[in-house]
Amino acid sequence: MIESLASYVSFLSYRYLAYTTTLKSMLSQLKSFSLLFALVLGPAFLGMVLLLFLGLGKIVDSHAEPAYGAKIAVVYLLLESVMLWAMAPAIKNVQNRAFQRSLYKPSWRVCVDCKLLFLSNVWLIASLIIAVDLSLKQWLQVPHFMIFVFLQWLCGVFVLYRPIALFYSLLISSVLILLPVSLSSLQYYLGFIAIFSCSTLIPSVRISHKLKVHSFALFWLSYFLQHSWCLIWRGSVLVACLFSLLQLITIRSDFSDLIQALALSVCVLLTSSLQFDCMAVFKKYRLFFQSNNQDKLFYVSHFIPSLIFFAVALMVVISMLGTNLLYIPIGAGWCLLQQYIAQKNPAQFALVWFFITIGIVLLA
Amino acid sequence: MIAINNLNKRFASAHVFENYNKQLQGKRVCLQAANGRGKTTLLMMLAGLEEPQSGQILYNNEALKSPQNDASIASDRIVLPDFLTARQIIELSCKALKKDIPKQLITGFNFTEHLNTRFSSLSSGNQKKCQLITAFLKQAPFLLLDEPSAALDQTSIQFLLTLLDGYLDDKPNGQVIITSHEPEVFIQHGFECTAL
Repeated sequence: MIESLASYVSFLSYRYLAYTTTLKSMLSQLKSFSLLFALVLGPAFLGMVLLLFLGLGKIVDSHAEPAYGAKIAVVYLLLESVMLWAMAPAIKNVQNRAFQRSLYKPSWRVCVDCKLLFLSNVWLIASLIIAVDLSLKQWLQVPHFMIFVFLQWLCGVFVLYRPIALFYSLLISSVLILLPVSLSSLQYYLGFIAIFSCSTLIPSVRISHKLKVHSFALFWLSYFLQHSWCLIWRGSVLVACLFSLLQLITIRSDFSDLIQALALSVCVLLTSSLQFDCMAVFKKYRLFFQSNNQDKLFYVSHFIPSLIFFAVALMVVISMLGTNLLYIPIGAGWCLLQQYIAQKNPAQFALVWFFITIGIVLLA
Repeated sequence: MIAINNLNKRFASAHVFENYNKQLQGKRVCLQAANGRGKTTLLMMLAGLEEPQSGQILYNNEALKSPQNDASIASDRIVLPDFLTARQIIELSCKALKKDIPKQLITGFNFTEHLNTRFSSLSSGNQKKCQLITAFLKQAPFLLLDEPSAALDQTSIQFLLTLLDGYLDDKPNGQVIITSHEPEVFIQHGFECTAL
């Protein structure tokens, strides 16, 4: 018994060490964004924490507007999934999974996975802080919040073990909140539970291997089908930002020009930063295309995904917030400039974006 | 014939080649050297995929502006798109080089059943086969193969040797240059061994 316990403790400390080491290595890869974090996220950190709790408050108290509360809940689950998705390799210690399997019991593995998942899930911890603060009477008044907390936990579990089911769950849940139906808060959240449960039964569809890859367009399409993560997290953050800005516009319509300028700025940042991913792909496979005399075409092609993503994102911005038509050419030019800087001088990427944002906001 | 004159190549502070001169005269040459002495780097420079700091490489007494047009290479240094299936990689190469799907090569290497496997999931032997298929596809006068028999099964090595035997039949000015730590089998098929 004591030996078994000692063995479990040593496994736990190994996994914790692997977790912290992987996280450190992941953070070191974000060097290009360090200035951006310092400039933007640093001063806004307290505001973001307050926004997190404000949103949770809206979810708890959504009796008057259940649809609005459900929308916020889905955005929260989406952002939480994106964050946990990024941390999943560290949580599971993916690189050494076979090593773990060869030495330790499966139940220990799952147990430590869950512990590290909880440690990583700040969204769930924030909800639990609110939950602990509620009295029993308040608990009985907001049973949907208990379901939301359970959904937050489920999201994490799906990220680790059933990522495809999570994709389907969030997609179908998004459709549910956009349907013009009148449901109570409890009905919405029970609906989400039903969707999450049924999504585990949907088989995964793999289409990328069926594509006939005989052009650069199909090469990039195939790449992004298999590396959809880099589009999903950007798309999720953009939708979450636009959702917040939309709420701001409804409250302060006199600031709409300023808010539209901010939306454009976020759109440019998220789409042009895709150039970092494309640049890594270009560097990795350059020699293959060069050996086939296609290096120049490949070089040109690696700028296209960011531009297409920008065009799609701008359409979403326009459809949600409306925009000054002047922003379309400005945004396109700005996106190109950011791509160029990402390519030539990545360290200055955030600084240039920050100063242009200040300029555009002042003009707006 | 390939002539290398006063070649200098260094990575950071490590000089791999310093005023290096060499003439590769045989039609079939096997380069030999210990690990880390620059065999792969030399092949990459011969293929025009890596630039030396200085020096000159002459192909049949001519300095080529774009050696990659006249040389084809199979090497682990060239990362193939590992998120694609082997079929997709071969199709992509065929389209770029305006060639038909090399059914004979695929069958000869017993590669048909692995075509729909993602490159990253292929065994090292099958990854090598995929590299060799794309290299042979080009039919360039200069064929450069980096450790071509490494990880290959015996049947595939025999097929590779058959391919090499006939490769220069329609390329009078061509040359096959390989590196190998097990050169005996290639020597039996007319390769001359030379130290780097």
